[in-house]
Amino acid sequence: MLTDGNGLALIGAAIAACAGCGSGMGVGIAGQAAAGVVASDPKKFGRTLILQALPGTQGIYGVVIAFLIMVKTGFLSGGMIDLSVAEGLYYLAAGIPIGVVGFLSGIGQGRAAASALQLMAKRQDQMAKGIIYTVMVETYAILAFVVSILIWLRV
Amino acid sequence: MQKVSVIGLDKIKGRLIARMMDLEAVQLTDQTEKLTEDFWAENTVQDGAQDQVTYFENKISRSSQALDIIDQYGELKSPLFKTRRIISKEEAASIPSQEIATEDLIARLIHLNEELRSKRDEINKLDLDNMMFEPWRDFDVPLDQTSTQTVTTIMGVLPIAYDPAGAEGAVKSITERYVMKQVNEDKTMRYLAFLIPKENEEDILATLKDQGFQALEMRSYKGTVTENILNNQKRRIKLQDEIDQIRDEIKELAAQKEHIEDYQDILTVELDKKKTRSKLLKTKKTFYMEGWVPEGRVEAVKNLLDANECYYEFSEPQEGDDVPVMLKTSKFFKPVEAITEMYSLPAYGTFDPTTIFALWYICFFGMMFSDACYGLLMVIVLGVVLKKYNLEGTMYKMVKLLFYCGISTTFWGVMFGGYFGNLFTVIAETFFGKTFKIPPLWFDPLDDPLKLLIISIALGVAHLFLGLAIQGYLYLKDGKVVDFICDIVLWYTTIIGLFLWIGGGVIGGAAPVIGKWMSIISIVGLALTGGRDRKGAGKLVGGFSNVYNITSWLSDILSYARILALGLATGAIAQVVNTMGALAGGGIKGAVVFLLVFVFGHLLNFAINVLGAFIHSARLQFVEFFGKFYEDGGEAFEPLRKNTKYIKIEESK
Repeated sequence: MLTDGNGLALIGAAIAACAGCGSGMGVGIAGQAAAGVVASDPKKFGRTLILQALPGTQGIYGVVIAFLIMVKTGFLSGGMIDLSVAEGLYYLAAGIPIGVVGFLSGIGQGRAAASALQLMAKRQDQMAKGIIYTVMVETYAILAFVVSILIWLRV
Repeated sequence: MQKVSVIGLDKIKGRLIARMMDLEAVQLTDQTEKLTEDFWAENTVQDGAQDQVTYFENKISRSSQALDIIDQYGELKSPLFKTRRIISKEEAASIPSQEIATEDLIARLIHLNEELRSKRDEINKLDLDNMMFEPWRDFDVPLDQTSTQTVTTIMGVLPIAYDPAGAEGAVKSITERYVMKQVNEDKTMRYLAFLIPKENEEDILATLKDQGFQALEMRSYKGTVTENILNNQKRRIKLQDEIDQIRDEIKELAAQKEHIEDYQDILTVELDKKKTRSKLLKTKKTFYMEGWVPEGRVEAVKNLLDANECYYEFSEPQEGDDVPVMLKTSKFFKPVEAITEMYSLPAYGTFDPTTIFALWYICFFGMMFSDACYGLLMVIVLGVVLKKYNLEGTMYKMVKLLFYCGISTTFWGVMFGGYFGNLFTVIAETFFGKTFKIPPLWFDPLDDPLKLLIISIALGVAHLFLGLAIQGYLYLKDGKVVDFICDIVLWYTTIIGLFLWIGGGVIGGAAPVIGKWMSIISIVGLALTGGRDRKGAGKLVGGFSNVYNITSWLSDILSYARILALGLATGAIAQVVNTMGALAGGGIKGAVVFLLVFVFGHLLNFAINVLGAFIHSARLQFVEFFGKFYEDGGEAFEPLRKNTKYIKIEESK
């Protein structure tokens, strides 16, 4: 397998998509907190949904990179071009930043979102600040995403 | 803001407060603190009308109850946006004349609700009784005849885990004269009846209890078990009928909901008038009040006070006053205030950047969402909402702001060639076998992400420099020239110098060399001036930490890469959706699949990315831009006004 460039490229796409694990866990953590908030005040449902959705972006970035890799290697259109091992490794490298950082930052962002939900439950007017705290975490996923794009671009 | 202090005659107080409410230009402040000073304490007392406040509060709470009941049972459709009904002054004036009818209506609704509750309670009790009776159907002795003078019946349940022989043995140990009968049995219980001499009842109950037996007391019911069950069922049907009738009546009464709403609003206005009085001080015949008036409304307030023959004084706010804040934004940028309010209002007297960041926000939003069709969708839907509903306050600002953002999204969508992603290309290819592409007016970020990254960073630097310029302006305004040079100019030269040094090769010539020396001199300057307010070793630490701030500039600048990230996310996910839809191929079947995937997929993509664009462009303002100069902590100006929920009384022209 490790001598097959195409296989390596697809592993790269797969790793990128794993950022979704982080988002899944993050959204899950936030969801638990959100349910607690809504239990005491059902009117806050809409607002909790916004905070719960925030850790979901890492998964999206992961899919975007996976998609970009699949497009550039021709995997999606059916006729995958023959890649050398080196090229395959580049694609693999492109998948790693967003896959790893997305995974971990998704969890971190989920925790921040859960705390922001607690903040909102007590002081609804301070929700914007809770959102800012949560979005802070995402910066690092975005940086990783940009690194992934840059590697992908130069293959 | 101007501070106004007013002394007037007590008898005009009510009228003055009412007129101030119409004017919406004065925020009264609580004056009770003055009573700690001797002069005020000797001559005045706190005004107030607590008994009237309580009176109105009670009425309002009853009318809210009635409205809740209508919401619950009235089966009225609730509109998408709750807006206030506009009514004329004459209509508003006629509301108090309907007070008696409305109070009757409210009383009726509350009464019906109580009836409903008691009938439901009764149904619950009947259901519980029937559950208890059900296993005893075969016990055909009338329940009120299970005892005679000497004999009585004990009925009860024995958990299935216990042996009935044990229970029987227990009875036998007390008396030989008994009859035991098992009436029924289910998964968990045996239902047993014992016929026993009355004199042994207590002893037998006690021993049976030891055997796990639980006695049921049913002697108070009349007739047999079956009769009881039947009666309960009949009664239940009757109750249910009555409940339906009550619900029908509430549904009918719900048509008069607006009367209650009008009435409640009028009550709220009256309540506010009375509540406000507790902020005033009074003597026997005069009152004293203080409040804030926005600069532009001073004349109007003066006229009002003159007309009411008050003695008044206007003064500038003193240091230490909690001055409320009112944003002064032109009508066009008013909606952007929603973003500023989301963060926190600027402290009184500090810089309000709303107008300045408005276009940046809208532009960033458009670049992040960047799909012409999504943008058009926003413009159309929100345009209709704005036209159809009379939105007010934060809701209006949000919708209008998103409307602007929709326009920006459409613009950037055309620039980047995003129309539901690459929808038309995919449709042409899958269903018509043709190649077709709407070319982007500028470039496609998916083809050249690096270009968009550079543009994002460049925009970011411009945005940050603007923020720094605002701080510079504030320094100069305060005459702090040294601060201006050390904290503003040196940073400009440092950042520009570093860019020239690293990237100046593109420009060619002496640019990198100029950049090199420019940045080195500036950084030395930063190190020397960073600790200028400190002493001794503090100077060293201050200088070092000032230079270290270059890293925070780096992270601020890189943060703008999110424009690229979110822009790509919208486009790429849209393409994923389209590609997935096309997997089923052409033809009718393919078209149906495509339509389903299209609707669901793009709805999801829209929802996720509109949220992302909204929050991340806000974050770029809050963290990066505001970080350069903003001082928050202002309290919003809340003038005395008619705080109505359902109606808006139109001022007569």
